[in-house]
Amino acid sequence: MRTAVFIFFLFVLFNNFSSASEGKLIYAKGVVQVLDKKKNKKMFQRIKKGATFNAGDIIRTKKGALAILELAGGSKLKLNSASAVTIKKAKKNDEEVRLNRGSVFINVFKSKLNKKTKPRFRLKTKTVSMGVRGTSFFASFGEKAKKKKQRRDLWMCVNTGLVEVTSNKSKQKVSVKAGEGIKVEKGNKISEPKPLEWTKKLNWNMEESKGDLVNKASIESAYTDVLDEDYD
Amino acid sequence: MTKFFLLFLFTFPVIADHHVPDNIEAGTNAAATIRVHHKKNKVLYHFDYEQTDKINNRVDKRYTLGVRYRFMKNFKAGLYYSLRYGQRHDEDWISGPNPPHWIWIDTSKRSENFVGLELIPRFLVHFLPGTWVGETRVKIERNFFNDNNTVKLKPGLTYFWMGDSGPFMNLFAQAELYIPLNYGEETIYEKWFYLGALYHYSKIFKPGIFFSVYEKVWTQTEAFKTLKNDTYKNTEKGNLVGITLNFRIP
Repeated sequence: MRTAVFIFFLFVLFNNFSSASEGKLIYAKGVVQVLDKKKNKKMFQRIKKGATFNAGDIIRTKKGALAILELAGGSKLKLNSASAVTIKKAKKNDEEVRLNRGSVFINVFKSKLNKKTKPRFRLKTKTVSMGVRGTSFFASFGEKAKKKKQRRDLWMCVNTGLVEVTSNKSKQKVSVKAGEGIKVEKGNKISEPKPLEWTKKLNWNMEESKGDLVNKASIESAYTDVLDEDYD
Repeated sequence: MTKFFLLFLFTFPVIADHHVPDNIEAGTNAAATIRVHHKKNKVLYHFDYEQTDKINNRVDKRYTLGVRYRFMKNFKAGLYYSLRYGQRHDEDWISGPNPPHWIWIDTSKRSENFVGLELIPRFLVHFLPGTWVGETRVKIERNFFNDNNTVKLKPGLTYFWMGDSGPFMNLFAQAELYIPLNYGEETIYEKWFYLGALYHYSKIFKPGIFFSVYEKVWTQTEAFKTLKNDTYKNTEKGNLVGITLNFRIP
């Protein structure tokens, strides 16, 4: 009896350990770090390809670095230079990531769920939530904030599929289709979805074997305010 | 013989006087502009130097210092001061004592002070493919040399050719119409049409080229009308090919 209980205990423990891993780092270039919340770590630790992470962990890349994360649910994230995400949930059919700063490409594991089903992947920032249905998209957050309390802009564009964007403040909802992008300026109104020229140059590749992974298209071009350009 | 003499007698004064200026076809001349900008938050400080090569023996030089403030996303306003040489006005057509015929004064070394207010509404032109900006600039300018007040309307359209990290080049087309408020006989005294391109070499340096076509109208002054009991309307037309060098102080 005692043996059965002990084995049962080990089984539960093993399952807890194995199911606690929310994902894995499958590619790393440069310095990629994790802040392990489960172990109550207070400092970021450098991690390498193959390292696992858990719910609550914060993964960040230093300047010039690149990381590709695979979540337990099957979706992939390509974290660009100087970016950070918090893994909230990464289980099958229930994935949630928070983009703290920088930019990330997201390739959601294709679901067989129909359109009426609640989105299975959510990307959140301080100001908006994005619900995704089997798609790949790009989001960039927080490039221009200079003052501490200043709200930051969010840029998002969709490669395939459909993304529903909801403003946390106004609850405004916008659906963004493939080939379109939106801007949420300082956490306020979500712009009308439209093709953004610079997004054609984004590098969506997430597989090392298929070529270069580094995205060279600068978000700066999206920030150029042409109405402010004075040349005469 | 008598008839011939009488004919000569009546026409000679006109030929000898020649008090109406000729129309001028100035051809194509060269121009150059240097601009220096410094932006701090919503304020732009600018210095411009513009020079146009000799047109009918005039070299037009302008030194302009100004400031612009961005009140709204689509609207800026500014003030500027401009010191100019080589300007020509209707009253510069004078009867010279020696030689005793009508001439245009050489104003190349004459300085004139201008002050102006400019209003710059701008908007994105969404229905055109790509990135287009429309602008309808209005300047109200005063010349303290002769107290002439002029309104300048300058509509324009600019195409921004976007690269990986911002605009790569812009192409522009503009018109500029001078409307005299307290001088001249014409509603539009002067007209300019510009076509140009500016290459964004870096955030600090942007060289460009432009081509412009202009037309100016000269009419008689009140003094001339009193003296000669005559009126005229003459035009100066020409083209300019120019380079522009824009610098930005970070």
